[in-house]
Amino acid sequence: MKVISITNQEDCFDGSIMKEVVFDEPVNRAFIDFMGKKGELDYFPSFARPFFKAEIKGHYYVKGIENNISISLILYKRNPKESLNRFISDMNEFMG
Amino acid sequence: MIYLNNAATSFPKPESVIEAVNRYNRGLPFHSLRSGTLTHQTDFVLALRENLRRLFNADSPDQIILTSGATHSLNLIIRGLLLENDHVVTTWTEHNSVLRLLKTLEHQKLIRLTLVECDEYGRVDPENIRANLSEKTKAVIVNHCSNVTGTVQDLSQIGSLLLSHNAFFIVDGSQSAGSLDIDVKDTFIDALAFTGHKALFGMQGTGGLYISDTIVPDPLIIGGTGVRSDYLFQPPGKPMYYEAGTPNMPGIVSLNAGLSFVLKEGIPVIQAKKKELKDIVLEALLNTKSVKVYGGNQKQDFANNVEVISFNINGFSPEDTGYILENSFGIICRSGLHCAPLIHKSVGSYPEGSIRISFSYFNEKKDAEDLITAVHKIAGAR
Repeated sequence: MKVISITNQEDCFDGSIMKEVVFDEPVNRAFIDFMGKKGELDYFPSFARPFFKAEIKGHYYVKGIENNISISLILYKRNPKESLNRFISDMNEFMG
Repeated sequence: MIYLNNAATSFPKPESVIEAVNRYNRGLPFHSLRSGTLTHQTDFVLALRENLRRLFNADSPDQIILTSGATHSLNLIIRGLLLENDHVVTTWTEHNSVLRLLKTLEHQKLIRLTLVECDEYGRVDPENIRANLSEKTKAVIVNHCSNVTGTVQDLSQIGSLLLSHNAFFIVDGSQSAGSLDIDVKDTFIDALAFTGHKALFGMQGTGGLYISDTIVPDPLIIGGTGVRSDYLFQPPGKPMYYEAGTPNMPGIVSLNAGLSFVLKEGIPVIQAKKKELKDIVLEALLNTKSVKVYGGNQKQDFANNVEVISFNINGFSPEDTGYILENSFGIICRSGLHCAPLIHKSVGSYPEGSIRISFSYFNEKKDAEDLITAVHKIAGAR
Protein backbone atom coordinates (compact mmCIF):
# COMPACT_ATOMS: atom_id res chain seq x y z
CA MET A 1 0.00 0.00 0.00
CA LYS A 2 1.71 3.17 -1.21
CA VAL A 3 0.77 6.83 -1.06
CA ILE A 4 -0.04 8.15 -4.56
CA SER A 5 -0.87 11.72 -3.63
CA ILE A 6 -1.57 14.08 -0.73
CA THR A 7 -3.71 17.07 -1.71
CA ASN A 8 -5.20 19.98 0.21
CA GLN A 9 -8.92 19.56 0.92
CA GLU A 10 -9.85 22.28 3.39
CA ASP A 11 -8.40 24.83 5.80
CA CYS A 12 -10.61 24.33 8.85
CA PHE A 13 -11.87 27.25 10.93
CA ASP A 14 -10.04 25.94 14.01
CA GLY A 15 -6.73 26.33 12.18
CA SER A 16 -6.18 22.67 11.31
CA ILE A 17 -5.61 21.55 7.75
CA MET A 18 -7.46 18.71 6.06
CA LYS A 19 -5.79 16.76 3.26
CA GLU A 20 -6.84 13.83 1.14
CA VAL A 21 -4.38 10.95 0.98
CA VAL A 22 -4.81 8.63 -2.01
CA PHE A 23 -3.29 5.14 -1.97
CA ASP A 24 -2.45 2.73 -4.80
CA GLU A 25 -4.78 0.13 -3.30
CA PRO A 26 -7.75 0.07 -0.92
CA VAL A 27 -7.17 0.73 2.79
CA ASN A 28 -6.87 -2.63 4.52
CA ARG A 29 -7.16 -3.93 8.04
CA ALA A 30 -3.36 -4.09 8.42
CA PHE A 31 -3.14 -0.32 7.87
CA ILE A 32 -5.93 0.33 10.37
CA ASP A 33 -4.24 -1.88 12.97
CA PHE A 34 -0.91 -0.16 12.33
CA MET A 35 -2.47 3.27 12.92
CA GLY A 36 -4.00 1.85 16.10
CA LYS A 37 -0.52 0.97 17.37
CA LYS A 38 0.73 4.47 16.58
CA GLY A 39 -2.08 6.24 18.37
CA GLU A 40 -5.62 6.01 19.67
CA LEU A 41 -7.93 4.07 17.35
CA ASP A 42 -11.70 4.08 16.94
CA TYR A 43 -12.78 1.29 14.63
CA PHE A 44 -16.37 0.38 13.83
CA PRO A 45 -16.45 -2.82 11.79
CA SER A 46 -20.20 -3.23 12.28
CA PHE A 47 -21.07 -0.21 10.09
CA ALA A 48 -22.31 -0.85 6.56
CA ARG A 49 -18.82 0.08 5.45
CA PRO A 50 -16.35 -0.01 8.38
CA PHE A 51 -15.20 3.40 9.63
CA PHE A 52 -11.96 4.12 11.44
CA LYS A 53 -10.35 7.14 13.04
CA ALA A 54 -6.89 7.17 14.54
CA GLU A 55 -5.36 10.06 16.42
CA ILE A 56 -1.65 10.54 16.83
CA LYS A 57 -1.80 13.02 19.69
CA GLY A 58 -0.36 16.45 19.07
CA HIS A 59 0.26 15.77 15.39
CA TYR A 60 -2.58 14.51 13.27
CA TYR A 61 -5.50 12.18 12.87
CA VAL A 62 -6.67 10.10 9.98
CA LYS A 63 -10.16 8.87 9.27
CA GLY A 64 -11.66 6.84 6.53
CA ILE A 65 -13.54 3.80 5.37
CA GLU A 66 -11.98 0.35 5.12
CA ASN A 67 -11.54 -0.64 1.46
CA ASN A 68 -11.70 2.95 0.21
CA ILE A 69 -8.79 4.13 -1.89
CA SER A 70 -8.36 7.39 0.07
CA ILE A 71 -8.49 8.72 3.63
CA SER A 72 -8.73 12.16 5.26
CA LEU A 73 -5.65 13.43 7.06
CA ILE A 74 -6.15 16.29 9.52
CA LEU A 75 -2.99 18.12 10.62
CA TYR A 76 -3.23 20.06 13.86
CA LYS A 77 -2.59 23.77 13.65
CA ARG A 78 0.40 23.80 16.02
CA ASN A 79 2.93 22.71 13.41
CA PRO A 80 1.30 21.31 10.28
CA LYS A 81 4.56 20.89 8.39
CA GLU A 82 6.11 18.82 11.17
CA SER A 83 2.88 16.82 11.53
CA LEU A 84 2.85 16.07 7.80
CA ASN A 85 6.44 14.85 8.03
CA ARG A 86 5.41 12.66 10.95
CA PHE A 87 2.59 11.15 8.89
CA ILE A 88 4.93 10.49 5.95
CA SER A 89 7.44 8.91 8.29
CA ASP A 90 4.71 6.70 9.80
CA MET A 91 3.61 5.67 6.31
CA ASN A 92 7.20 4.80 5.36
CA GLU A 93 7.40 2.63 8.47
CA PHE A 94 4.11 0.91 7.55
CA MET A 95 5.28 0.21 4.00
CA GLY A 96 8.54 -1.19 5.34
CA MET B 1 -27.23 7.07 -2.17
CA ILE B 2 -29.88 8.91 -0.14
CA TYR B 3 -29.87 12.69 -0.37
CA LEU B 4 -31.03 14.50 2.79
CA ASN B 5 -29.37 17.86 2.29
CA ASN B 6 -32.27 19.64 0.64
CA ALA B 7 -32.00 22.65 2.96
CA ALA B 8 -28.72 23.38 1.17
CA THR B 9 -29.83 22.58 -2.39
CA SER B 10 -32.73 20.37 -3.40
CA PHE B 11 -31.99 17.16 -5.31
CA PRO B 12 -33.27 15.74 -7.55
CA LYS B 13 -35.03 18.41 -9.53
CA PRO B 14 -38.37 17.58 -11.15
CA GLU B 15 -37.93 16.09 -14.63
CA SER B 16 -39.77 19.12 -16.05
CA VAL B 17 -36.95 21.39 -14.79
CA ILE B 18 -34.25 19.35 -16.48
CA GLU B 19 -36.25 19.16 -19.71
CA ALA B 20 -36.97 22.91 -19.73
CA VAL B 21 -33.30 23.80 -19.22
CA ASN B 22 -32.17 21.31 -21.87
CA ARG B 23 -34.73 22.66 -24.33
CA TYR B 24 -33.68 26.22 -23.62
CA ASN B 25 -29.98 25.51 -24.00
CA ARG B 26 -30.53 23.81 -27.37
CA GLY B 27 -32.34 26.83 -28.81
CA LEU B 28 -31.22 30.31 -29.82
CA PRO B 29 -30.56 32.60 -26.84
CA PHE B 30 -33.59 34.52 -25.63
CA HIS B 31 -33.26 38.18 -24.69
CA SER B 32 -36.14 39.50 -22.69
CA LEU B 33 -36.89 43.15 -23.58
CA ARG B 34 -33.83 43.25 -25.82
CA SER B 35 -33.77 43.15 -29.61
CA GLY B 36 -33.11 39.69 -30.91
CA THR B 37 -34.79 36.54 -32.02
CA LEU B 38 -37.78 34.46 -31.11
CA THR B 39 -40.24 37.15 -30.12
CA HIS B 40 -42.94 34.53 -30.50
CA GLN B 41 -41.34 32.39 -27.82
CA THR B 42 -42.63 32.35 -24.23
CA ASP B 43 -41.09 35.18 -22.26
CA PHE B 44 -39.71 33.11 -19.40
CA VAL B 45 -38.87 36.21 -17.39
CA LEU B 46 -42.42 37.51 -17.44
CA ALA B 47 -43.80 34.01 -16.81
CA LEU B 48 -41.54 33.55 -13.78
CA ARG B 49 -42.36 36.96 -12.36
CA GLU B 50 -46.07 36.23 -12.66
CA ASN B 51 -45.68 32.81 -11.01
CA LEU B 52 -43.73 34.37 -8.15
CA ARG B 53 -46.35 37.10 -7.78
CA ARG B 54 -48.92 34.33 -7.46
CA LEU B 55 -46.80 32.37 -4.97
CA PHE B 56 -46.40 35.33 -2.62
CA ASN B 57 -49.74 37.03 -3.37
CA ALA B 58 -47.98 40.22 -4.46
CA ASP B 59 -49.94 42.95 -6.23
CA SER B 60 -47.86 43.05 -9.37
CA PRO B 61 -45.20 40.95 -11.11
CA ASP B 62 -43.12 44.13 -11.31
CA GLN B 63 -42.62 43.89 -7.55
CA ILE B 64 -40.52 40.77 -8.11
CA ILE B 65 -36.82 41.38 -8.75
CA LEU B 66 -34.81 38.43 -10.10
CA THR B 67 -31.38 37.94 -8.52
CA SER B 68 -28.65 35.34 -8.19
CA GLY B 69 -30.04 34.15 -4.86
CA ALA B 70 -31.05 35.17 -1.36
CA THR B 71 -27.65 36.61 -0.43
CA HIS B 72 -27.76 38.88 -3.48
CA SER B 73 -31.35 39.86 -2.62
CA LEU B 74 -30.51 40.64 1.01
CA ASN B 75 -27.50 42.72 -0.02
CA LEU B 76 -29.69 44.58 -2.49
CA ILE B 77 -32.37 45.47 0.01
CA ILE B 78 -30.14 46.11 3.04
CA ARG B 79 -27.46 48.12 1.25
CA GLY B 80 -30.04 49.76 -1.01
CA LEU B 81 -31.99 51.18 1.90
CA LEU B 82 -28.97 53.28 2.87
CA LEU B 83 -29.36 52.61 6.56
CA GLU B 84 -26.58 55.05 7.60
CA ASN B 85 -27.02 56.20 11.19
CA ASP B 86 -30.11 54.05 11.52
CA HIS B 87 -30.93 51.32 13.96
CA VAL B 88 -31.55 47.80 12.67
CA VAL B 89 -33.06 44.89 14.58
CA THR B 90 -32.45 41.30 13.61
CA THR B 91 -32.44 37.91 15.34
CA TRP B 92 -30.15 35.11 16.48
CA THR B 93 -31.78 32.74 14.01
CA GLU B 94 -30.33 34.52 10.98
CA HIS B 95 -28.06 33.04 8.36
CA ASN B 96 -24.67 34.64 7.73
CA SER B 97 -26.17 36.21 4.59
CA VAL B 98 -27.79 38.66 7.01
CA LEU B 99 -25.47 38.49 10.03
CA ARG B 100 -22.20 39.11 8.21
CA LEU B 101 -23.65 41.97 6.19
CA LEU B 102 -25.16 43.69 9.23
CA LYS B 103 -22.09 43.11 11.41
CA THR B 104 -19.96 44.61 8.63
CA LEU B 105 -22.19 47.69 8.44
CA GLU B 106 -22.06 47.94 12.22
CA HIS B 107 -18.26 47.58 12.21
CA GLN B 108 -18.07 50.40 9.65
CA LYS B 109 -20.14 52.45 12.11
CA LEU B 110 -22.87 52.90 9.50
CA ILE B 111 -25.65 51.33 11.57
CA ARG B 112 -26.52 50.49 15.14
CA LEU B 113 -27.46 46.84 15.42
CA THR B 114 -29.59 44.94 17.92
CA LEU B 115 -29.60 41.15 17.84
CA VAL B 116 -32.70 39.66 19.46
CA GLU B 117 -32.09 36.24 20.99
CA CYS B 118 -34.25 33.21 20.36
CA ASP B 119 -35.14 30.56 22.93
CA GLU B 120 -34.02 26.92 23.12
CA TYR B 121 -36.68 26.04 20.53
CA GLY B 122 -35.30 28.60 18.07
CA ARG B 123 -38.35 30.82 18.55
CA VAL B 124 -38.11 34.60 18.62
CA ASP B 125 -40.62 36.26 20.90
CA PRO B 126 -42.18 39.15 18.91
CA GLU B 127 -42.41 41.07 22.19
CA ASN B 128 -38.61 41.04 22.37
CA ILE B 129 -38.53 42.65 18.94
CA ARG B 130 -41.08 45.24 20.05
CA ALA B 131 -39.03 45.98 23.19
CA ASN B 132 -36.01 46.86 21.06
CA LEU B 133 -37.74 49.19 18.62
CA SER B 134 -37.07 52.90 18.77
CA GLU B 135 -37.77 55.91 16.60
CA LYS B 136 -34.38 55.33 15.00
CA THR B 137 -35.23 51.75 13.95
CA LYS B 138 -35.31 51.70 10.15
CA ALA B 139 -35.51 47.97 9.51
CA VAL B 140 -36.41 44.71 11.23
CA ILE B 141 -34.92 41.68 9.50
CA VAL B 142 -36.28 38.23 10.35
CA ASN B 143 -35.46 34.75 9.09
CA HIS B 144 -38.84 33.15 8.42
CA CYS B 145 -37.60 29.63 8.93
CA SER B 146 -34.37 28.46 10.56
CA ASN B 147 -32.06 26.39 8.39
CA VAL B 148 -30.77 24.75 11.58
CA THR B 149 -33.87 23.70 13.52
CA GLY B 150 -36.67 24.29 11.01
CA THR B 151 -38.35 26.66 13.49
CA VAL B 152 -40.85 29.00 11.83
CA GLN B 153 -41.28 32.55 13.12
CA ASP B 154 -44.70 34.17 13.32
CA LEU B 155 -44.46 36.72 10.49
CA SER B 156 -48.01 37.98 10.94
CA GLN B 157 -47.44 38.90 14.53
CA ILE B 158 -44.10 40.57 13.88
CA GLY B 159 -45.44 42.34 10.78
CA SER B 160 -48.47 43.70 12.60
CA LEU B 161 -46.51 45.04 15.53
CA LEU B 162 -44.35 46.99 13.05
CA LEU B 163 -47.40 48.71 11.56
CA SER B 164 -47.28 51.37 14.23
CA HIS B 165 -43.55 51.97 13.68
CA ASN B 166 -41.58 53.35 10.76
CA ALA B 167 -39.37 50.28 10.46
CA PHE B 168 -39.38 48.25 7.25
CA PHE B 169 -40.13 44.55 7.64
CA ILE B 170 -37.59 42.50 5.70
CA VAL B 171 -37.93 38.72 5.65
CA ASP B 172 -35.43 36.07 4.64
CA GLY B 173 -37.56 33.34 3.08
CA SER B 174 -34.71 31.12 1.89
CA GLN B 175 -35.95 28.01 3.68
CA SER B 176 -39.67 28.72 3.44
CA ALA B 177 -40.30 29.84 -0.15
CA GLY B 178 -41.90 26.82 -1.79
CA SER B 179 -42.21 25.00 1.53
CA LEU B 180 -44.73 27.21 3.33
CA ASP B 181 -47.44 29.57 2.16
CA ILE B 182 -46.19 33.15 2.35
CA ASP B 183 -48.64 35.99 1.82
CA VAL B 184 -46.72 39.26 1.73
CA LYS B 185 -49.90 41.29 2.30
CA ASP B 186 -51.28 39.30 5.24
CA THR B 187 -47.89 39.43 6.96
CA PHE B 188 -47.16 43.11 6.15
CA ILE B 189 -43.82 42.29 4.55
CA ASP B 190 -41.99 45.17 2.86
CA ALA B 191 -39.29 43.01 1.30
CA LEU B 192 -38.97 39.24 0.97
CA ALA B 193 -35.69 37.65 -0.11
CA PHE B 194 -35.75 34.10 -1.42
CA THR B 195 -33.57 31.60 -3.20
CA GLY B 196 -34.48 29.41 -6.15
CA HIS B 197 -32.39 26.29 -5.62
CA LYS B 198 -34.03 24.90 -2.49
CA ALA B 199 -37.77 24.18 -2.23
CA LEU B 200 -38.55 26.01 -5.48
CA PHE B 201 -36.48 23.43 -7.41
CA GLY B 202 -34.56 25.88 -9.59
CA MET B 203 -30.87 25.71 -10.37
CA GLN B 204 -28.20 27.18 -8.12
CA GLY B 205 -27.64 30.88 -8.83
CA THR B 206 -31.32 31.77 -8.94
CA GLY B 207 -33.53 33.69 -6.56
CA GLY B 208 -35.30 36.95 -6.10
CA LEU B 209 -36.64 39.74 -3.99
CA TYR B 210 -40.17 40.96 -3.52
CA ILE B 211 -40.26 44.72 -2.86
CA SER B 212 -43.51 46.37 -1.86
CA ASP B 213 -44.43 49.76 -3.32
CA THR B 214 -43.75 51.38 0.06
CA ILE B 215 -40.02 50.87 -0.31
CA VAL B 216 -37.59 52.22 -2.91
CA PRO B 217 -34.04 51.01 -2.30
CA ASP B 218 -31.12 52.12 -4.44
CA PRO B 219 -29.94 49.52 -6.95
CA LEU B 220 -27.00 47.30 -6.01
CA ILE B 221 -25.60 47.12 -9.54
CA ILE B 222 -25.99 49.52 -12.44
CA GLY B 223 -25.67 48.85 -16.16
CA GLY B 224 -27.49 47.68 -19.27
CA THR B 225 -31.15 46.77 -19.04
CA GLY B 226 -32.21 46.46 -22.68
CA VAL B 227 -34.52 49.46 -22.44
CA ARG B 228 -33.91 53.24 -22.87
CA SER B 229 -30.36 52.62 -24.07
CA ASP B 230 -29.96 56.33 -24.94
CA TYR B 231 -30.38 57.28 -21.25
CA LEU B 232 -27.06 57.46 -19.38
CA PHE B 233 -28.43 56.63 -15.96
CA GLN B 234 -30.18 53.57 -14.58
CA PRO B 235 -33.78 53.73 -15.90
CA PRO B 236 -36.09 54.04 -12.90
CA GLY B 237 -39.01 51.74 -12.28
CA LYS B 238 -39.30 48.22 -11.01
CA PRO B 239 -38.10 45.66 -11.86
CA MET B 240 -35.51 46.91 -14.40
CA TYR B 241 -34.02 49.43 -11.97
CA TYR B 242 -32.59 46.49 -10.02
CA GLU B 243 -31.74 44.05 -12.82
CA ALA B 244 -28.77 45.44 -14.75
CA GLY B 245 -26.75 43.02 -16.83
CA THR B 246 -27.54 39.90 -18.82
CA PRO B 247 -30.03 37.78 -16.93
CA ASN B 248 -29.26 34.19 -15.99
CA MET B 249 -31.69 32.79 -18.55
CA PRO B 250 -31.01 29.06 -18.02
CA GLY B 251 -31.50 29.70 -14.30
CA ILE B 252 -34.68 31.67 -14.89
CA VAL B 253 -36.04 28.89 -17.10
CA SER B 254 -35.19 26.34 -14.41
CA LEU B 255 -36.79 28.36 -11.64
CA ASN B 256 -39.93 28.94 -13.68
CA ALA B 257 -40.22 25.20 -14.34
CA GLY B 258 -39.51 24.36 -10.69
CA LEU B 259 -42.02 26.88 -9.40
CA SER B 260 -44.61 25.68 -11.94
CA PHE B 261 -44.11 22.19 -10.51
CA VAL B 262 -44.64 23.49 -6.95
CA LEU B 263 -47.78 25.40 -7.94
CA LYS B 264 -49.16 22.40 -9.81
CA GLU B 265 -48.57 19.94 -6.98
CA GLY B 266 -49.62 22.48 -4.35
CA ILE B 267 -47.69 23.52 -1.25
CA PRO B 268 -50.11 21.72 1.16
CA VAL B 269 -49.52 18.41 -0.66
CA ILE B 270 -45.76 18.92 -0.75
CA GLN B 271 -45.69 19.97 2.88
CA ALA B 272 -47.80 17.01 4.01
CA LYS B 273 -45.38 14.52 2.49
CA LYS B 274 -42.33 16.18 4.00
CA LYS B 275 -44.05 16.45 7.37
CA GLU B 276 -44.76 12.71 7.36
CA LEU B 277 -41.05 12.00 6.84
CA LYS B 278 -40.04 14.58 9.46
CA ASP B 279 -42.42 13.01 12.01
CA ILE B 280 -41.10 9.49 11.39
CA VAL B 281 -37.51 10.59 11.95
CA LEU B 282 -38.30 12.84 14.92
CA GLU B 283 -40.21 10.09 16.68
CA ALA B 284 -37.24 7.75 16.33
CA LEU B 285 -34.51 10.25 17.20
CA LEU B 286 -36.32 11.65 20.25
CA ASN B 287 -36.62 8.10 21.56
CA THR B 288 -32.98 7.19 21.00
CA LYS B 289 -31.09 7.51 24.26
CA SER B 290 -27.75 8.71 22.94
CA VAL B 291 -29.18 11.16 20.40
CA LYS B 292 -29.78 14.82 21.18
CA VAL B 293 -32.25 16.63 18.92
CA TYR B 294 -31.99 20.43 18.92
CA GLY B 295 -34.96 22.78 19.05
CA GLY B 296 -37.24 20.74 21.29
CA ASN B 297 -37.63 17.81 23.64
CA GLN B 298 -40.84 16.23 22.42
CA LYS B 299 -42.54 15.80 19.07
CA GLN B 300 -45.09 18.56 19.57
CA ASP B 301 -42.27 21.08 20.03
CA PHE B 302 -41.56 20.60 16.33
CA ALA B 303 -45.16 20.57 15.12
CA ASN B 304 -44.93 23.88 13.24
CA ASN B 305 -41.38 23.40 12.01
CA VAL B 306 -40.45 22.65 8.45
CA GLU B 307 -38.66 19.49 7.41
CA VAL B 308 -35.25 20.33 8.88
CA ILE B 309 -33.91 18.36 11.86
CA SER B 310 -30.64 18.98 13.71
CA PHE B 311 -29.16 16.42 16.08
CA ASN B 312 -25.96 14.93 17.45
CA ILE B 313 -24.99 11.43 18.53
CA ASN B 314 -23.13 11.08 21.85
CA GLY B 315 -19.48 10.23 21.41
CA PHE B 316 -19.30 11.40 17.80
CA SER B 317 -18.55 14.89 16.55
CA PRO B 318 -21.08 16.19 14.02
CA GLU B 319 -18.30 16.19 11.45
CA ASP B 320 -17.58 12.48 12.04
CA THR B 321 -21.27 11.59 12.09
CA GLY B 322 -21.71 13.32 8.73
CA TYR B 323 -18.66 11.52 7.35
CA ILE B 324 -19.92 8.14 8.58
CA LEU B 325 -23.47 8.68 7.32
CA GLU B 326 -22.18 9.59 3.88
CA ASN B 327 -19.29 7.16 3.49
CA SER B 328 -20.46 4.17 5.53
CA PHE B 329 -24.21 4.35 4.92
CA GLY B 330 -24.55 6.39 1.72
CA ILE B 331 -26.69 9.11 3.31
CA ILE B 332 -25.79 12.68 2.39
CA CYS B 333 -26.57 15.31 5.00
CA ARG B 334 -24.70 18.29 6.41
CA SER B 335 -22.62 18.85 9.53
CA GLY B 336 -21.37 21.95 11.33
CA LEU B 337 -22.86 25.36 12.04
CA HIS B 338 -24.75 25.61 8.73
CA CYS B 339 -23.74 29.30 8.29
CA ALA B 340 -26.05 30.27 11.16
CA PRO B 341 -23.78 30.36 14.23
CA LEU B 342 -25.89 32.25 16.76
CA ILE B 343 -28.93 29.96 16.93
CA HIS B 344 -26.62 27.11 17.98
CA LYS B 345 -25.88 29.08 21.18
CA SER B 346 -29.58 29.13 22.04
CA VAL B 347 -30.39 25.52 21.21
CA GLY B 348 -27.22 24.10 22.81
CA SER B 349 -25.17 22.91 19.85
CA TYR B 350 -22.45 25.57 19.90
CA PRO B 351 -19.53 25.52 19.02
CA GLU B 352 -19.34 22.20 17.16
CA GLY B 353 -22.74 22.48 15.52
CA SER B 354 -24.95 19.60 14.52
CA ILE B 355 -25.86 17.06 11.90
CA ARG B 356 -28.67 18.42 9.81
CA ILE B 357 -31.06 16.40 7.69
CA SER B 358 -33.63 18.01 5.43
CA PHE B 359 -36.25 16.34 3.28
CA SER B 360 -37.55 17.04 -0.19
CA TYR B 361 -40.86 16.16 -1.82
CA PHE B 362 -38.92 13.46 -3.67
CA ASN B 363 -37.74 11.60 -0.57
CA GLU B 364 -39.58 8.44 0.33
CA LYS B 365 -40.46 6.72 3.59
CA LYS B 366 -37.65 4.24 3.04
CA ASP B 367 -35.12 7.09 3.06
CA ALA B 368 -36.33 8.08 6.54
CA GLU B 369 -36.24 4.46 7.71
CA ASP B 370 -32.72 3.92 6.34
CA LEU B 371 -31.56 7.07 8.13
CA ILE B 372 -33.02 5.83 11.41
CA THR B 373 -31.33 2.44 10.98
CA ALA B 374 -27.99 4.14 10.32
CA VAL B 375 -28.32 6.48 13.30
CA HIS B 376 -29.23 3.57 15.57
CA LYS B 377 -26.23 1.64 14.31
CA ILE B 378 -23.88 4.58 14.99
CA ALA B 379 -25.47 5.41 18.34
CA GLY B 380 -25.17 1.78 19.47
CA ALA B 381 -21.55 1.45 18.46
CA ARG B 382 -20.00 3.06 21.54
